[in-house]
Formats: sequence, C-alpha cells, structure tokens
Amino acid sequence: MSTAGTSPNRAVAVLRYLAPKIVQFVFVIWATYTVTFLLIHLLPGDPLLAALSVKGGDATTTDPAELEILRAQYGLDGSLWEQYWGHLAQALQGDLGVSIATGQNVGDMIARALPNTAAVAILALLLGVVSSVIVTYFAYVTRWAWVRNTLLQIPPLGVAIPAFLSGLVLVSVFAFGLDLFPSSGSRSPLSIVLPAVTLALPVGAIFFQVFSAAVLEAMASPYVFTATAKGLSPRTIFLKHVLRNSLLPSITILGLLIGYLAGGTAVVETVFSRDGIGRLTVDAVLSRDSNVIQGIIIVVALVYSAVNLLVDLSYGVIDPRTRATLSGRSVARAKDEAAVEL
Amino acid sequence: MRWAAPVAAVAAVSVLAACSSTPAETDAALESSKDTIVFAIKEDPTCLDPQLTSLTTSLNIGRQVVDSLVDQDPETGEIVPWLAESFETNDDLSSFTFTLRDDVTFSDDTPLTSEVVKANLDSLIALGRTAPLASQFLAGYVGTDIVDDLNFTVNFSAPNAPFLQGASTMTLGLVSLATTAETAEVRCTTGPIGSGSFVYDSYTPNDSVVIVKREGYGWPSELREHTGDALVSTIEFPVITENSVRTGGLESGEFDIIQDLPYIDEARFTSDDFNLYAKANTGVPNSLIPNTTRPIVSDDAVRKAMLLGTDREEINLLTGSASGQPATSALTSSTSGFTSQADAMAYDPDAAEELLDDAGWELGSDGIREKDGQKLTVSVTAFYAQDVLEATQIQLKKIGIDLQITMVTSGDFFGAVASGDYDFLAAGLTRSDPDALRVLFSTASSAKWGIVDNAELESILVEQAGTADADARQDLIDDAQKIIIDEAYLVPLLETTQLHASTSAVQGVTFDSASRIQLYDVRASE
Amino acid sequence: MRLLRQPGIVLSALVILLTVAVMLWPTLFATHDPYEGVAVDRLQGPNGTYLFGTDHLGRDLYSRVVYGAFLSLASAGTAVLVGVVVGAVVGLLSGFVGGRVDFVIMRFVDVLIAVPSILLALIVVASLGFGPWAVALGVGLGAAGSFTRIMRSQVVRVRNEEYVEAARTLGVRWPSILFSHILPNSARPVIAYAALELGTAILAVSALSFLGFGAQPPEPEWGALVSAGRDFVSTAWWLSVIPGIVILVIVLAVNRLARAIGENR
Repeated sequence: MSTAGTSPNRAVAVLRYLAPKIVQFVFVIWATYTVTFLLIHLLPGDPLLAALSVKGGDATTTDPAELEILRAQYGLDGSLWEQYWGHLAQALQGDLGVSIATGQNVGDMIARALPNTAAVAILALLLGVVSSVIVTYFAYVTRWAWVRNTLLQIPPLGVAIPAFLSGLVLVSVFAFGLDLFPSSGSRSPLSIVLPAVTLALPVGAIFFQVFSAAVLEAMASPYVFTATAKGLSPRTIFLKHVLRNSLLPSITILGLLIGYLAGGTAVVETVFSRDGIGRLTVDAVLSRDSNVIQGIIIVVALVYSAVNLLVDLSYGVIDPRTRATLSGRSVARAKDEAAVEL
Repeated sequence: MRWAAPVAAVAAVSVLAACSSTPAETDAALESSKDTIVFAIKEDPTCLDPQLTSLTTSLNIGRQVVDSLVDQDPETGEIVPWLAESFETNDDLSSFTFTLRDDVTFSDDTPLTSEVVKANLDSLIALGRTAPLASQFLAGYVGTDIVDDLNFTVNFSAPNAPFLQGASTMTLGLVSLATTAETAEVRCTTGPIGSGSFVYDSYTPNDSVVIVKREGYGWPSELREHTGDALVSTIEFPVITENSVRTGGLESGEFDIIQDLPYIDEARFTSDDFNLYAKANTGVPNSLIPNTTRPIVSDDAVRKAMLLGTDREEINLLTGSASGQPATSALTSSTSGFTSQADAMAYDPDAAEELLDDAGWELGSDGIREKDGQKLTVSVTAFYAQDVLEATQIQLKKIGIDLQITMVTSGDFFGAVASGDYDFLAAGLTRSDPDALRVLFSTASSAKWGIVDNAELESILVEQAGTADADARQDLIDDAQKIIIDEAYLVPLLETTQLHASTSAVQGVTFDSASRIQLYDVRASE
Repeated sequence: MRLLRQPGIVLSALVILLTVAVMLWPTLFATHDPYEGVAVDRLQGPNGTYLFGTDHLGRDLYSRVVYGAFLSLASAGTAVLVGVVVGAVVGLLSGFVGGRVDFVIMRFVDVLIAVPSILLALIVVASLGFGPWAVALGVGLGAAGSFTRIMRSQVVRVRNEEYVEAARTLGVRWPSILFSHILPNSARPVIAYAALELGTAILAVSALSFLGFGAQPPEPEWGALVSAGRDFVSTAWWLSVIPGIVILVIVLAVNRLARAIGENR
C-alpha cells in the first residue's frame, strides 16, 4: 500500500473515505429525527392540553369543542404523515417551528440554551481531561507504589458519585457556606464553575479509565523500554512519547463523553437552576412539546455526529498507520475495542 | 385697605398649597436606599400578559405592569376606585357603568379612553379559550356601550355578581389599544403595554424578567401608600426553581425578596433580619375532589369516613405554614362568604371506622378494609403538594383506607379532568369569589372537577351566581358549603398560604385581595 | 485466589453481598415501618432510635433506605438485563447474517447511540407512565446500543477464526457453532461490560428518579429520597446526603468488582 502518491490520487482517496461518512452523517440525523417523531406522536397524553395547562393553571378549559378549535389553531390537526412532512420541510429551511407550551420560536429557545450548556460542558471536559492527565502523570512518575495506588483510586470515585449529590454538596459548601461562587442562574460568568466541576468528576473519571489504560499499555511497550535504557527520565518519556500515543485511543471516547454530557446536564441544570439543553429537554418531554423535542434532537444529533466525524478524520491525522489503509473498518474496529476496554 | 385683598389672596393660596402639599410630604418620607430590588421567583412565568395566564408567578409580575378599573380592599372586600374614578351598577348586576380618570396614559403615551376599555373586553371575548380566567369573569358578556371618552357601560345577558371583583384583578387589567390587536403569542412573549407603575424591560425565558419604573406615573388606587413614580427604578425577577437555592440566596443577601418560601424553612426566617408575608389563598382549599361515578367513591360512607378520618390539624402542622389555618369548610377561611363547617368535619377516626364497619367494610389482615372481596383502595391524581397527600395517606391507612397517590404533570392532570378518568383529584382552586364552588361542581362549568349528582346543590350554585342581593347570596353560599361537607363531596386537606420572605430592609410589599403581590410601594431602607 | 489478597475486592464483594441481603430480606434489617410517620419525631438528625434520622413527616430514613434497596437495584438490574438481551439478540443477528442486514442494523444502532440516553429514557417513561419499571426499560434500551456493538464485533471476530472455518468444513452446523464457540467467546466481554453498566444503570435510574420520573410516593426509591431531601439541604442535610452516599458506595463496589471480572476472567 503506498502512502505517498500524486495529489489527485490522494484527493480521490480522501473523498472515497469521506463520502460514506458524510452519507452516514446525514442518515443518522434523518433517522434520529424520524424515530423521535414517531415516538413522540405515539405518546399518550394530549400535547395541547399539556401546553394549555402550563399557562392556564387551574383555569384550563377541558371542553372538547373548545379544544378542537385550539388544535386547529396550533396546527396539531392533520394526519401523522402531513405533520411529519410539514415539519421536515420547515426544518430543512431552518425553521424549527414554534413551541406549543411557551409560544416561543424553537430555534430561539435552543440558541439561547445551547451556549449555557456548551459553556459548562466545555469547561467540564477541559477540567476532566486536564486533571486525569495530571493524576496519571504523577501516578506514572512517582517512585512510591502507595502514591500510585492512592492516586489510581480517586477517579473511580468520580464515576460512582451521583451528579445530583455532588451538585447539592458543592452548592451547600461553596455557594452558601463559603460564598465563593454563585449558586444559580447564568447571570455571573463564575456561575459555570460549580456546575462544570460537578460534571468534570464523572467525565474526568471515564476519560481517566481509557487514558490510564493506554498509558499502562504504552509503558510496557518496547520503545519505552528502549528509552528508559537510554537513560531518559520518566518525565521526558511521559511527555514526549507516552502522552501522544495514549491520546489516540482516548479521543475515540470523545463521542461517548459528549453523549454523557448531554445526559448529565439535565440533572446539573436542575440543581443549579440554569437554563440549558438538559432542562429544556426535561420540560419539553413533560409537556409533550414535540417541536422543541425534535429541535433538540436534531441539534444534539448534529453535534454528536459532527464530533464523531471529526474523531474519525483525526484518526487519519494522528495515527499514520490508519492513514495508510484509510479503511473505515479498522477505525470502527478500534472504536469497538475501545468501547469494550471501558 | 388696599393690601387686604392681596394678603387674603396670598393667605388663601398658602392654605391651599399647604393642603395639597400634604401628599407630597408623605412622598418625601418614602424613598428607597436601593435602586434595584431582586425578587427571586420559583418558576418561569411563561406568559408576560396577565390577561392570558392564571399562573400566580406571571400574575405577580403582571400586576406591576397593568392597572385595573377598580381595586379591592383585601381586609374589608370593599371595591374602591382606581382607573375608574366612579362606578355604579343596576339592580340585578347585569349592567355596570364606569367613569374613567382623565389623566391615565399607557407607557406608549396613548390615553386611556372608553374605546380602549371596549377593545380590551371585546378582544378578551374573541380570544376565548386562550384567556380562560378572563372568560370566566366575563360570562354572559353582551357588549360595551360608549357614552363618551370617559364614560361607558358594560352589559351582560344575565346577572354577573363576581364581575366587579374580577375587574379589580390583573386578569381584567387594561392594556393599550395596540396590544389588543396583537396575537396571544406575541402578547405572551414580548409583554403587553400597560398603564402600570412599571414597564417590561427584558424577558429571558427560564432565566429572568426585568421591569423598570414608568416615569410620570400618577394614578395609584387609594389603597396604596404613596403617589407618583415607583420608589425603585428596577425590579429583577431571576427564575430560581430550586427551593434550597432560593432560601439560601435570601440568607446570603443575594436576593432581596423571594417567592414561595417553603413552609419547612419558615422557622429560619422568623428573626428580625427578615420579613415574612403570609396570605391565605382564597377559594377552595387543597382537597380531595371526588368523581362520584366511580365505584367505591360513589359509596357515601367511604367519602364521609375519609372526611372524618383526615386530621386537618396534623396536616397543617406537618405540611402547612405556621400562620395558616387548618381547613374548616369547602371554602378557605380568607374567602368572602366562608362559613365554618368545623363541627361537621372534626377529626373523628372512631366515627369514621364505625361508618365503614356499618357499611360492610371489614378490616383485612393487611390493615386495609375489604368488602365482597374488593379492597378499599382509591387513587388520587395530583400535580403538586405531594407531601400533603403523603401525610393524608398515612392518616387514612390508620382507618383502613388505601390511598394510592399518582403524581403527574399538569398536562396529564388536565388530561385526566378532560377524560373523567380519576377517583379523586387533589388540588385547590384559587379564586377571590365564592363562585369558585360553582366553577368546581356545576355540571355546566367548563372547569368542573368535582363530578357529583345533586340537583339541590346544582340549583343553589347556579342561583348564587345571579343573585344581586348580598345577604340572599350569602345564604345560598352557606347552604352550598353545608351540603358539600355533609355529603362529603369534598375532603378538604389544607388551606394553602402564599408565603414569601424578604430581608428586613425591604418595605412596602402587600397582597391584593386575590393574594397576589403589589410592589408599587416597594422600597429598601438601610 | 490472588483476588482475595486485594482488600478493595474483598471489601467490594462484602458490600455487594450485604446489599443483596438487604434487597431480599428488608424486614430483617429495617428498624421501623418505612411508610409510617411519627409527626412529633420529624426532622431529627441521626440518633439512637433513628439511625439515619427522620424526614419531614417523621418517617425513619434508615428503614426507608433499606426498603428502597429492592426498588432501586432491581430496576437497575432489569435495565442491564434488557440491554444485554436486546443487545445480544440484535448483535448476534447482525453479525451472523452480515451483508446489508448487518449494515442497516448497525446504522440504527448508530442512531440509538446518537440519541442521548436520558432523552430516550424520558420518552419511554413518558409513554409508559412514570415508575421504576418504565425507567428500567428506558435506561436498558439506551444501553442496548453498546451491547449490540460488542456482541456483533465478537460474532464477526469469532466467525472469521480458523477453528470455526475448520469446524464448518467438517460439517458442523451453524447453530452448534453458535452455542459452542460464539456464545462462550462473546460472554467474557459482554459480562464485563454488563457489570460496568450495572453501576451506570444504578446512577441513571436514580437520576431519573431524582428528576421525578421514578416510583410514586411514598415508595422510598433512593433517587426519589435524594430529591425529596433537597429542599432540606440546609436544615436536614442527612435526608439527601445519606441516600446519595449509599448509592455512591454501592456503585463503587460494583465497579470495582466489574473491573476485577474484566481483568481476570
């Protein structure tokens, strides 16, 4: 297999590699949208009543004749087929519709909530990854076994602690007790710290498991043996060799982590009274607000698939071996194995 | 003496000036050391237009932005002038004539005229179901006759006893002509243009609402403490859904006022550093509301036993506010027209058990009664106040009744109401008028929750809504309460109290007659 | 038996054994009726009579935690079972049949994994009504995607092994190969992952319970206990913290043992 080739050959190869991935990308998003549409519309419960009761409180009307009039008003009539295509057509033009429960534009709602969630998620990812690398580093270079063993016990704790517990404790201690951080909302920039720390615990722990396993494997490899024989310090070995080779398999779980963050935000946003995608989702499912649910699904599926696409592409960049074959199968195998090792 | 007249004139003018400066002196005494008040609310208001929502949180904010034709003294129930400087009704309460003040303008500088009021009422009727509470106040609306810019008459096809009370609420608060032409969606998301002492500045859903004072405001009702502009320039309402975060924020000083202090935390804020604001909700207390077409629920003995087997004092102790009263009738003690039925519903578990024994319900081995192989199990559907139901469940278990609690979302709750698929509902109905009983039980009501079959009760409830004479109406309402409790068509559990708290520096927070908040006089002192 | 030398593993095993015992025989361990409240004793901190203190209705928290064990853990266990069974069946089918069927199935698995598991669980729960078993189903379906992938990759791997080819040439039929080669070889990674997923499932179930989708009151499911206690964080912290720590300890133990299984079997 020749890796070097003339530019047009390389370009064609890249395209051959990319094309199915992009098709897959589109398919996943469309399928997710369709499956969700079906699920939501098969839900029992009347979305109209749910939406009305949010505003109406104990004065909500339940007279069937009146409800029919309103149903027509909100476009909740028509066959399932009509609703499906109508909504899809709109979505393709960028219009995600109007929320039945709040009357706001769905696109606006998501655009407002997404930065809040993203800020917390990105900070959590950063904190988690950085602290895992640091803990692994010290575990690796230390001479004392007991330090290594103690350090290695910390991350499993991060996975096991329920986010709602850590969130509540953090709020009590750091917001109300020590008054260091705001307890809620998104008015102050500092308000992302406590929620991010809450999420960083499990995220960092999951990342640690994969990363440290990769480091362990690298430690046992022949080139590290050679490097140690050459007299290089553990620190240099770690920073120059082990780190880069361990990051590769760790990147494969980035997609998994995004999925986890998407789920974890619901709890965190509830505890910290923040506006965000998680809260939006919970509220939307509770009020059968189909337009909002589908809007969120599309956005989340987009983000998830985009991340996976980038991860797949970056395989080619980071690992020359995969680049040579540019084979989708080997990449998928690597991902499967990473999932199993977890 | 040539200078006598000028001196007299000067003297006269000085006296007049002295008289008219008295309110100014009162104004001077009231000022706020803080320019911005932070009022943490417990949920997103979802709709900024008080005409179109009945969520208490939205109404509390909307009250500051729209004014009403009349105001109601929360202590005496007396209706007093506000935007209408005088009003009168005909003998059978089917026709109401108002005379407006001549100096009221909306925040878009348009004046308040009869045209505007007519547009308000007409558009509310047109909106119909999207404005459910308003529709109930305007039942039988025929139209508004305009006499001139400041005089008009509102006509109904049948007597409408609760109308004036409704006119004092923010549900019939007046919005500008331009607002009446907007769609309901726009009115909810951008907020109405009102004539109130504040105007909407921003609304970030799930995050906060901000209102700023209206420059040049000058028409508060006589129930307020001052005249002129509001005393603070901004009120922020951050949305804080977590109870512990709201209370923690009050303690730390992050919030000046918080809405809905959980009763459990009341003890923390009774010191001098904080003010507590408690007002019992008017209307029907939080109760078990039956569907008597269902088996077991249809058994009179079961319902009466449930009534006697619930210890309302204990429920109030465990889950209610320290300042609240145990429920003692089908109406709450703060509702006009309330008459205590305490004797008929005093806690008597022995009598309850006797009723059940006599009806053939025998105690089973698991502590639950049964009859003909059927267990005495009933279900209750609710979307809030879970702890009240849990306390009730424990009490009813002691007399052998198995109460199954089904907590659902508000959407599913109304779904159950619509389909009639429930044994009991648990909720309160907050209205300032005893007409709430008709709304709850009458077969013609659009929000009927209590499904009962009693011709006498039905006719009484319909009659009271059209009775102009106050005493006659009171007699009818007394009868209604007696029947409802005697037949156990309701198992009252708790009188819900609106409980809010603020730092001790905050003054001027008052409740209106429907237990919603007035912030016109709010101020902070250092 | 090298395993027994590690204190972490021994401790974890003991915790698991104790938990299973509590799950199956709560009456042995509880000190009070978990549903009865003594009003005058409400909101007490942990003491001699009430080991974990009492809640706002005067109910003993310790007994409620004991009775909640079955609800919380059984639904988590069910979730994993659902995930394994669905994943195994679909993964086997996909890997075995191969070709276009495999391709289509795996694309749907991609979709399943793309939908955030909490959203999937929420939708399932909203359709079937709130309650611990609906939550279990929802969480299980969310996990099924990963199990499918694992099962399928194992099937594909084994199917291409030389000894299987050899068996085929000898005339051994597929069902026999399935049971004597493919399933046993797939068992190891599936069981290892299942053990890990149990910890995740416990957390997911209690999180959904915390958000209000789990068991109805007065059932003392652990997530619901933490949720009910969060109004009292400043005044009666034990109501949220203690059940939360119980969840933490059990998940730790489960994960520790899961890793041991994964490494040693």
